[in-house]
Amino acid sequence: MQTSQYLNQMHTADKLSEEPWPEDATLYQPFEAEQILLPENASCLAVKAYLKMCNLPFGIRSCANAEHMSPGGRMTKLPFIRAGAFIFAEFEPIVNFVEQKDMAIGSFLDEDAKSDMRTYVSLVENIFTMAELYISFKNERVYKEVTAPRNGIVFPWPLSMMQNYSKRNNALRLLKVYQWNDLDIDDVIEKVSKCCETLEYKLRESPDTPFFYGEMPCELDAIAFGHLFSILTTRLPNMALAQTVQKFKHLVSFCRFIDEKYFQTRCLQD
Amino acid sequence: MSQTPPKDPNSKYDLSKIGARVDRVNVNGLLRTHNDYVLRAADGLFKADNFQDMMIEAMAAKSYLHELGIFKDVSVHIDISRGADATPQGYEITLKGNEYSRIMGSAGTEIGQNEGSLRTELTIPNVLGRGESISLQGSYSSTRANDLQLKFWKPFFHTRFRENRPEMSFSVFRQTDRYDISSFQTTNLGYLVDLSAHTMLGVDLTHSLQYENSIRDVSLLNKSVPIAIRDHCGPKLASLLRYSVIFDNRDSNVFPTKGVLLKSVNEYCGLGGNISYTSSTAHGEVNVPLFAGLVAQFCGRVGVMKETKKTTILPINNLFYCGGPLTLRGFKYGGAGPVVDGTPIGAQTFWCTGAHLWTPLPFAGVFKGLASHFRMHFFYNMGNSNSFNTDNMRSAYGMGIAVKLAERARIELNYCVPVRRQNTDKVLNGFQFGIGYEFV
Amino acid sequence: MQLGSKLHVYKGEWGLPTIDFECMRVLCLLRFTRCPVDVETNSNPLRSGAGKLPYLQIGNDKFIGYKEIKRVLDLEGYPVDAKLSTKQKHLSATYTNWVFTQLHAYYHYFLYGEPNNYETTTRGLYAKRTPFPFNFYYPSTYQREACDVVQVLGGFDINDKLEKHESDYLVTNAKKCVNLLSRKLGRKVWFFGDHFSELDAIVYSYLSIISKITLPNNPLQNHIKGCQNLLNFISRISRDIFRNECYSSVKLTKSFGQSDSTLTPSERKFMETELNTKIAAGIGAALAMGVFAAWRGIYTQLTRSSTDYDGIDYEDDELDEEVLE
Repeated sequence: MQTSQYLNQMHTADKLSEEPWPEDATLYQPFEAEQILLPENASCLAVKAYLKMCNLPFGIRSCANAEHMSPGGRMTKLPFIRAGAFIFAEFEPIVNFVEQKDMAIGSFLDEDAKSDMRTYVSLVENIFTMAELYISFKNERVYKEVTAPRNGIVFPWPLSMMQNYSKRNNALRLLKVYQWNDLDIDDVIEKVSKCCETLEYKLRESPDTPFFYGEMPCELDAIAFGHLFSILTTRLPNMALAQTVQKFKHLVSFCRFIDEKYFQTRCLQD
Repeated sequence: MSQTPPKDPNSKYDLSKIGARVDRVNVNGLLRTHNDYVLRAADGLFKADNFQDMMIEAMAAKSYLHELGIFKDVSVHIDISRGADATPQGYEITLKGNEYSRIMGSAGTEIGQNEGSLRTELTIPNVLGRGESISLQGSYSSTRANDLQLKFWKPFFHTRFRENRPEMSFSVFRQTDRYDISSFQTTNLGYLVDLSAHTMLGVDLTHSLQYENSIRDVSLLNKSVPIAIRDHCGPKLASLLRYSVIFDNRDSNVFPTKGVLLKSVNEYCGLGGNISYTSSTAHGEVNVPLFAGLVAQFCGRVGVMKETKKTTILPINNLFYCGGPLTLRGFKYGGAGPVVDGTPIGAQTFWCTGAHLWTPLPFAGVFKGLASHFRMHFFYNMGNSNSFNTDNMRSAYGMGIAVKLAERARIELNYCVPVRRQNTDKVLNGFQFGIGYEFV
Repeated sequence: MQLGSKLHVYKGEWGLPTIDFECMRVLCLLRFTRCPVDVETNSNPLRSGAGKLPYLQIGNDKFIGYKEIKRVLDLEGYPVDAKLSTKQKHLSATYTNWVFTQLHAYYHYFLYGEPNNYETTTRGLYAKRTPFPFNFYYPSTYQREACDVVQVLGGFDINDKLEKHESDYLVTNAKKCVNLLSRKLGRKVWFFGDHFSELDAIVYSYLSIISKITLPNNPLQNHIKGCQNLLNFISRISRDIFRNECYSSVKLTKSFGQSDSTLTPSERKFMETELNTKIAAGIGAALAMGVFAAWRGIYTQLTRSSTDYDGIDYEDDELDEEVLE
């Protein structure tokens, strides 16, 4: 599914860079209050943060079937944006699309730093998404009390059961492909805290600046914020992930700073 | 069902004057069938009081047994009744049936709009001894759209509503429909309960009342699909009642020479589930015989789909597609309807009519047997979507040749010339191939 | 590390120590860190416990797969990233993860998913390294796994028709990744200068196999050949570190032309699978005949007469033989 996206991008790259960002660009996501799951919420928040950092206007549309409408992707398939005739799903394709418009943040980085940054983005996306999927679908209590009821809420009864089943199967397959299927919760915590260590180390390389790469935000700031903030603010029966992240004070204050600057939800307590 | 038989003035004996009384009726060959299921076969026989009636009733009983769907073949033996309690002029009638084997299977190929498919069927007739049957039907096609249907049905011909021919069926199905023109497909998974019966209050009508409960999953067939179609993606639960009534007095299903067919299907969806709409379609066909084997045929079809109070979005897979060999010849399938971002999408209402002049093939007399399967026709089609006036309607005319397929379906090869069209329509000027049951 | 511990991997080919990515990763860890472990290349994958190689046997304990073996090595004092600075350690982890996302789907699609590649080459490679009755079934487990990988990371189903395989995306991603790696490596010995890392292991594992394997369709192969520093990197590691493990079935025929020697292994593999098929057919036929014989009653009589020879009573035997006659 990404092929066509990619080819779309390649074939229309010249045309795209000339065209301005469409005013009616819309971001599609599931219903935030009732339906959205932790991994989806994190990726949606990351994309929203990125677009806000780029200062691009966009509307948000909540659809019950957003996941099914999406052209597909490597992980949650969400969110997807529609800009003119183009539809792109997930963080990386959306970032690639925005970069063709010359409005992207992160262009201040030199090529080496940029490739390093891209690998950080990929690490953050993989580790946190997998950890969120793991806790949502492999932890029996979280699955029964949160994931299944939320996922099934938009469907009438027998259908909700079948949708839960297929959603869980997909999630387990994803975990298997990323080689997370045979881990136990301690391994997951270890992976997450290693990733947090890496991020905190990166953040402390420039201790006086608010962002990962100095004074200006880049993709890494958006995706790290999306995942960390979602993990910290989502209440689950098992808060192991949040407790792990909370140990990294710099990351927590980084989240608070980004939230204050771009979203003002202020739901992250001290 | 009884008719007065034509009397042959040349016959030596008037059979109706020979008295006869049926003393006994035997039905043989009942291995798995319960006795009470065939009891009514004898009803008419005991009423017969002369030999001719008895013969006719015996034949009626034979065809009745056939209809019960338990026998492969039935033979009738008539004998003088013997024994202690035999009456003079008494006869004993033995109906000897040969029951179906426990399992019957069949396989075959089908050709649809643009794909071939392999169909297999496995039937277990007369499971419980009163005509109840189970069948499993599967089809596998080249485009990986697999259909499966498990059906249980039970006729109630043996009850006192025999004349109404009531029948009940329950089926579980999985079915995939591809809407290539709008680049989406639906996968339906669900069950269906069907009650059907005839009524003969003045006119003979076939009624069918169905309840369907199914999951309809809309998915996309390619990547560049407009958001208006994308909006419909994902599974939904439909719960609907469907009522259809058919009046048919034509003399043949495929190439009728006289008679009228009227058919109406009404759906109400929204008894639970999260799809709601009402939809009605009506189809009519009038055949008028002319001279020299020519037949004039007028067809018309109308469809209307409406929101109900609960509707949030009308399901895309229930919209009507106008155009194609079965409706508006000279247009591609679904090519004469509204368009969203260049992709045709179904319409909420549509109508189309057709006028045909059917002729036998020239030199039909030479190949009599074969020629009865072929006809030639000239046609003129008109139709439109989302509008009932004739200002911007579509129309096409042409001629072609049609073949009868197994007394049910028709294959047409037509040369079509579209006359009136819209800019967004997809026309097909030239030869068009069509296969189906119900044409306009 | 305990003495006598043994790592079981697939035997190599084309001058590489092994043909499988996971095995190669583990071998890299062991040889980079100079961990004293014997390498066994003739082992039954079904004996690992997970139905797959690699596994590391220490005494009676089995450690299956890359993750477990890496953990053991870390505990035993052979961590792969030990000599790196903190920053490099973090970068090694991020790059390793990134290379995985960029190349994993390509590797799985072109080795197992592409039907022509799989039928002509890969299936034979794995079948040859699996003991006889299992070699018919076993390679397909890799294909099933690849199906999931490609579905998730590539977004298409390898069971669909070949025209629907949207591999361009995988190829472009892989090429981009190779370009970046080539730039990052530059003229250094290892990716992080003087010290090896997990990144070196994963890059070597993917690229050595992709660049050496003889697949009919492998668009990345020529691309890698365009990056001289990566080629040097691969051949240097193969030569210096895997001096003893490297194996090639065509070493003896090197004197022939280049094109011949590249063709021979696949042909030979084909011949061997054909031989196996013949053996299977032979055994199947023998079995069928045996069953037929048993059904005809000959078999029972034969066994009866043979058991009677072991018996004590000789007279009965004679009697039986009389009956037979």
